Amino acid sequence: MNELVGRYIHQVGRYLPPKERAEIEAELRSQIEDQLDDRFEGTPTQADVASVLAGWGHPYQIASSYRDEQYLIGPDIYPVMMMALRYGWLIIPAIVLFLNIFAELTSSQPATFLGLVVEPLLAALYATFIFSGVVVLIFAIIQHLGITLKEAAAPFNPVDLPEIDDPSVVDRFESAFGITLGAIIMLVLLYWLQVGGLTLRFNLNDPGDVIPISAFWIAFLVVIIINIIITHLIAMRRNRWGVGTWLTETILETVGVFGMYFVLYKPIFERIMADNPSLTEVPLLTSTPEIIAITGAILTLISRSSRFIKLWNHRTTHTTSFFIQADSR
Amino acid sequence: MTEPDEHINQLRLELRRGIVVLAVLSQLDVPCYAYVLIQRLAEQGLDVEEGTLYPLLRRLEKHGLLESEWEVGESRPRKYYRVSAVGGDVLSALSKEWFEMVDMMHHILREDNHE
Repeated sequence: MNELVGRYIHQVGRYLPPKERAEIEAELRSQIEDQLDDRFEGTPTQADVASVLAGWGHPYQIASSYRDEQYLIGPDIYPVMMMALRYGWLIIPAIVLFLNIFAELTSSQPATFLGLVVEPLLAALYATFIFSGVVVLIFAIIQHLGITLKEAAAPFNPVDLPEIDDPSVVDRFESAFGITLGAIIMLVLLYWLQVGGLTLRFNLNDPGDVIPISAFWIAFLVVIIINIIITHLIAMRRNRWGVGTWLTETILETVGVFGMYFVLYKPIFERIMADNPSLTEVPLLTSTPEIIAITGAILTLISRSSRFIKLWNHRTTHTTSFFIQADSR
Repeated sequence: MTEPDEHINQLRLELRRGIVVLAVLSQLDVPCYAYVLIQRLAEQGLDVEEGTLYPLLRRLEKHGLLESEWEVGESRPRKYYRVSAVGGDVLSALSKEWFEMVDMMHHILREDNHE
C-alpha cells in the first residue's frame, strides 16, 4: 500500500469509533486504491496520491461524515435544561450571597469589606459555575441514556393546552424546585433546632459559635414549610391551583416570611448591635429587623394577591361559561 | 461567496441529500462496489463526492436497506453492496413518491401558475 495513503487512513482512523475503525479503514483503503488505479497507470507519484487525497478532504472531515449527528444536549431536552439553569442562576447566587454575608455578619471577627462583599461575590460565582456544570452533566447523561421526557412523549392534544395567563396552571418545574428548596431549608432549621441556634458550621459535635434562638420559632417555621410543601403537592396532584390552595399557600408564605423575624433577622441584628454598640445610636437602624420582616411579609402578600384575584375571576368566568354551555344543550 | 450563492449552495445540498439515497438504492439491484457506483452515477450526471457516498452506504447498510459482502478473490479486497429486500420495498415506495413529487413540483413551479 502507498505510504501516504497509509498515513491518511491512519489519521482518519484516529477519529473513528473503535468498533467500526478496522472495517471503515479497510473500505477506505480499497476505495482510494481503486481510484488511484483508475486515474494513473502504473505506480502513481507522491503528487498524484496527494491530489487524490486532497479531493477526499481532511481526515477529520471524512471521519466525522461516518458519524451520525450526535449531541451532548439534544434539541429535545435543551429547553428543559435552560429552564433548570435559569432557575438556578436566579436562586443559587442569592442563597450563596446570603449565606456568606450572614456568616460574615455573625462571625466573632469584625466584618470587613473583603468578607462582606468580595468573598460572597466570588463564592456566588463559583457556586453558579459548579451548579451549571452539574446541570449540564445531568442532562448530558439523560441525552446519552436516551431518556425521553414525559411531557414530550405524551400524546399531544391541543385542547389540553393551558390558556394564556391561566392563573390555575401549575408550573411543575417551579413547584418541584420550590419543594426541594423548602426541604433543604427545613433540614437547616432542624439542625439549628438540634444545636439550639444559628450557625453555619454543620457539625453536630462541634457547631461552633451559635447564636441562640427560640426553639418554638424554629419549630413554627418547620411546620409552616411542611404545610407549604403539602399545599404544592396537592396543587401538583390536582394539576391546578384553586382559590383555596392558593389562599392557603399565600397565608403560609406570608406567615413564614414574617416568622423569619424571630429566627433570622432579630437574632442576627442583636448580635451585630452587641458587637458594635455605637450602631444603636443610628436612627431607625435598631428597627431594621422589624422593617425587613414587615416589608417582606407585605411584598409576599402583594405578589401573591394578584394571582389570587385572577384565580377568583377565573373561577367566576369558568363557572359562568359552564352554565352557558349547559343551557345551550 | 455572495449571500445568494451561499443560500443556493446550502439549499442545493438539502435538495440533493434525499435524491442521492434514492439514486444509490436504484443502482444497487446488482452487487457493486463503491468506486464503480460513483462512476456509474457520474456517467448518468449525478456527481457524488466520496466523502458523501461511502458513509451513506454504511448508514443504509446499518438501517437494513443494503447488504454487503467482502470479495477477496480480486486484486484487492472489495466490499460489494446490494439492495436488501427491505431496501427494495423502500425503493419502490420512494420512487412512486418521487414521480408524484416531480409532477407536483412541475405544476407548482410552472410559470403560468404564478400570480
